Amino acid sequence: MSISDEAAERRALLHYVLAAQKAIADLRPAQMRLEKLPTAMSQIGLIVETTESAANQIMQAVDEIMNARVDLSPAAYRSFVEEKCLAVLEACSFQDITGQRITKVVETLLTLEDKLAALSSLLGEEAEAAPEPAPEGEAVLLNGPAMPGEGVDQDEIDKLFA
Amino acid sequence: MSISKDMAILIVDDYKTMLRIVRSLLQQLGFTNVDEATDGKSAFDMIAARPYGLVISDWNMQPVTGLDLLKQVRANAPTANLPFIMVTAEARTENVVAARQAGVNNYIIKPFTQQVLKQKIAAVLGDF
Repeated sequence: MSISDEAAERRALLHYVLAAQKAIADLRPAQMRLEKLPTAMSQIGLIVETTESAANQIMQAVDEIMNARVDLSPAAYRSFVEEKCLAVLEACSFQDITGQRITKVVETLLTLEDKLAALSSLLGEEAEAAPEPAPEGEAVLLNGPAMPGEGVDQDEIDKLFA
Repeated sequence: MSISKDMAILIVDDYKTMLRIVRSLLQQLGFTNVDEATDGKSAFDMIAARPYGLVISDWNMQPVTGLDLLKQVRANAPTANLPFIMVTAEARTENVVAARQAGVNNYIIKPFTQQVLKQKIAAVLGDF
């Protein structure tokens, strides 16, 4: 290899390292680790809390309607049921609140996806470490709620138990 | 065969909301003797301490899953035949097959209705 070839190779290597350094810096790993991801996790925790609270509020109102006193006059019963229905409607506002929180989490994930895609493109697939180990044992079966179109429905399960 | 609505039922789920929903549905069906557990380990301790007529359990719980609980129940001679219904969002065929092989009596996909719960209890225990 000539001296000029070596110099060209070193320049190319330097450009690659600088580009990789920039891609990593663009990820803002400290901001992601210390700010964005903890905020996203907090948002998800609040979504769980909000939906649980709303479900309990709705169930409480329904329980009270189902167990309403039998000696109420029609007008009193109507007023009572209207009051409880209003509580159910109020509880349903959780959808708006959780929707906004989910949007924030999705924004963070999309940002992370874009930056990781840029880094992956620069480094090339071969630079990636070995794939994550596949789950083993019962972990293979714990996938959570199925996505639309996946899984089986109750009728198919019933056939297995027939 | 008709079943007694006084029998003790244990419901197991790590989401208290689901426990409340299942308890309410069971109450509407006439079952009022209902205990709750929020994980597989405490559920097995309760099953070992008190005779239950039926267990209705979620699958995806930590550290002891519903499947682990089912296997423990089946491996324990006094509870080996205890009626056990899995209620879960895990809806893949391999899940149902694994639960069936472990000895589950029936399997309900979340979300479900009171009518489905009633049908499955009747299928396992008889009409009521």
